[in-house]
Amino acid sequence: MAQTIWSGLTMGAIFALIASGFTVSLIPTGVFNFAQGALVVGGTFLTYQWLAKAGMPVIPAVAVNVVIGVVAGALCELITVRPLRLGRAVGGGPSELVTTVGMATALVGVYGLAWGYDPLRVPFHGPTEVVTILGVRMEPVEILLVLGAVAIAFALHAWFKYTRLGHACRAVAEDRDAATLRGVNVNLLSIGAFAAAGGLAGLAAFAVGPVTLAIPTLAHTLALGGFVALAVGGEQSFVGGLIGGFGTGIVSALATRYIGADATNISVLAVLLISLTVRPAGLGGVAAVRSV
Amino acid sequence: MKITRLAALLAVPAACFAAAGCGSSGTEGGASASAQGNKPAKGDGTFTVAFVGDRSGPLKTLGTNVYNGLQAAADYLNENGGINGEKVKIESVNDNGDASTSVQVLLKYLTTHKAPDMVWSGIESNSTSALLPVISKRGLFSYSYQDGGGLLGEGTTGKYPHQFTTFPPSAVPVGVVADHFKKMGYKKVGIAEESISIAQGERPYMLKALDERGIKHELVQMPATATDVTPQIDKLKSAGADVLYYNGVAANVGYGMAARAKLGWKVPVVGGMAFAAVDPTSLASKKALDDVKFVNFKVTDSAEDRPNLDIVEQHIAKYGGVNGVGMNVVTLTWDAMMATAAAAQQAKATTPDALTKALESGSTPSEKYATISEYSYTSTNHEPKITDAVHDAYTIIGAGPIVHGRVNSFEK
Repeated sequence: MAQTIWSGLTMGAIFALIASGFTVSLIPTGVFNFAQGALVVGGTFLTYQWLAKAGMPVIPAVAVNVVIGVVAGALCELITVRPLRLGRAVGGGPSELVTTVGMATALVGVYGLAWGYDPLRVPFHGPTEVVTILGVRMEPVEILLVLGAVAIAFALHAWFKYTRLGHACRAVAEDRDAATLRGVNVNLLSIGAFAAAGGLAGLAAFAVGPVTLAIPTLAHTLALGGFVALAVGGEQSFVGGLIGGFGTGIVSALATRYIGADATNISVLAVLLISLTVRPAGLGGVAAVRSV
Repeated sequence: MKITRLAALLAVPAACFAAAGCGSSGTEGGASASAQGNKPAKGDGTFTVAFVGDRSGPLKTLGTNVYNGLQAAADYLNENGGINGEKVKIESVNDNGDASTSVQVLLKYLTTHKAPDMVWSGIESNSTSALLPVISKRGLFSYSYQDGGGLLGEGTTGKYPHQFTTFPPSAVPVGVVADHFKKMGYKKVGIAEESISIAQGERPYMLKALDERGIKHELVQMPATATDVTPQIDKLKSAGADVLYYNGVAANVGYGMAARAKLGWKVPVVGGMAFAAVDPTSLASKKALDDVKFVNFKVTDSAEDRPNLDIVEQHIAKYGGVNGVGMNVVTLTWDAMMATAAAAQQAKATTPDALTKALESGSTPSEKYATISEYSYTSTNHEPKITDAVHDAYTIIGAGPIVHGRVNSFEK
């Protein structure tokens, strides 16, 4: 069972990283960027390109990936969100969800054209010897993935809670008009948030790629997993998303191991339904108060 | 004046109907013939093959190799007088790897072109199963890379009278694997099966083959969307299997081999027919492929010297050789064209009825088959009959890089 739980934690870490990316762009914009999964998959292809084909050292490859991710994230905002915002004060409607889904689909097509649809093995330029901890066999890249997801979630939580820019983002999330009146540049925050989420995707891809392989069609699977993690954890909570991701991964792995393959997707759906029933705002979310 | 204008108005549609009637009586593709299904036009000096498959989508690699295989076979046949003196021409109908698109594009092709002499009905089972009813309804002759999920086996010819495949039934390769397990003395087989139709379709044959040989088995299923199958492999390890039969494809193979290596489970692995659909060395490290084999056609093993393979390789070289798939993809396609040519020669005709009757006669010998030395069909079964020749076409190959369609096993 411990081995199965570790498998669940590994998969859950990937979902948590995607959920963190969703939350970064969601807080200051109110937009759920469905293309986040596609950005991570793009990062895995670029990782393959730099490490397996170009023979680039790891540090420069990571830096290039993050820069490209930042640019890609910014372009996502400019193409899928900004045009819909023109003349509209309030964001985060269904239109942006549709356009980001379209962006995700377009990116998948681009990856297929550039690298083909056959899966590619993404190398990991770190230790590869399996280690055994408390009877559980773990690959070093899996340990990096789990610890990385935890570190990133807490770092982002701290940034949004204790920094001036983080406060500005939360102010926009609470009341966009009031934040604008107080001098917050909401458009710059919007593009910055998407760019940051893109950079996070590029960074995460270094650990995600060696585990999942680089496959264009994986984008939607990862996005759905990240969405469940976000829904369970609460849409503005990084720690909640982390717990949601781990929980979803563990439940899914245990269901697959002890019930069967048919139970995998059903178990994830069950997690989602139960959490939304018991705590609709999510584990880390706060129920919104509305005056009537 | 009014009567004249009215007569002029009525004359236009009347003239159109008359022209259509004249047109239909002049060709076999007109209204009366289409009621019975398209019949290929004769006497134009060309044997046209319409290839329906993926040339641009997720299965582009497979589709391109099948198409190139048809082109190579067409070139060879044309060098040797064509099919009954008719030049063989291959036309591509791209379905982008989508089953519903395959039907739409074929229907569009049939309405804008004269009926082909042969249709290559898809490259994977979903498309083939969607295309076969359309092709059958129009009375067209077709071959496909596989059987559309059991649509061309025993007892199906009433529904698909002119449709054939060169791919033998699943019972054959799983029998080869089961014989290998028996020979090696394995007591319990752990079966890891990806939840896809090709793997699930093999399951009853494998379980039956193992039961017949007195070998125990434990089965786990892996979701097609899974990116980690460690729990399932761990379950088989806990069950005490002394060999792993791995029936997954593409990325799933990479996940499975990685899971086995991570768990330190050093039992031998034998992969199913789809194991090497994508080169396993591109999915898993050499270490993870240690003591890994898979069942496939001998023509895919670089250690095997098969008749006529040199002719196939010579002709496929013009199209860049075999890339990203096993050689059997091209040779099974090649064999379909050779069988069609042999049937046409035997029947002295190329109509669907004549070709079918010749193929069903039991033996359409050709000296130019590359995968299996002979193909036998019956009036009730349009899959190759299971004969010694079919059994002889398979082998267990050690994993290794696939270069131009042939596996260079690490074990050599």
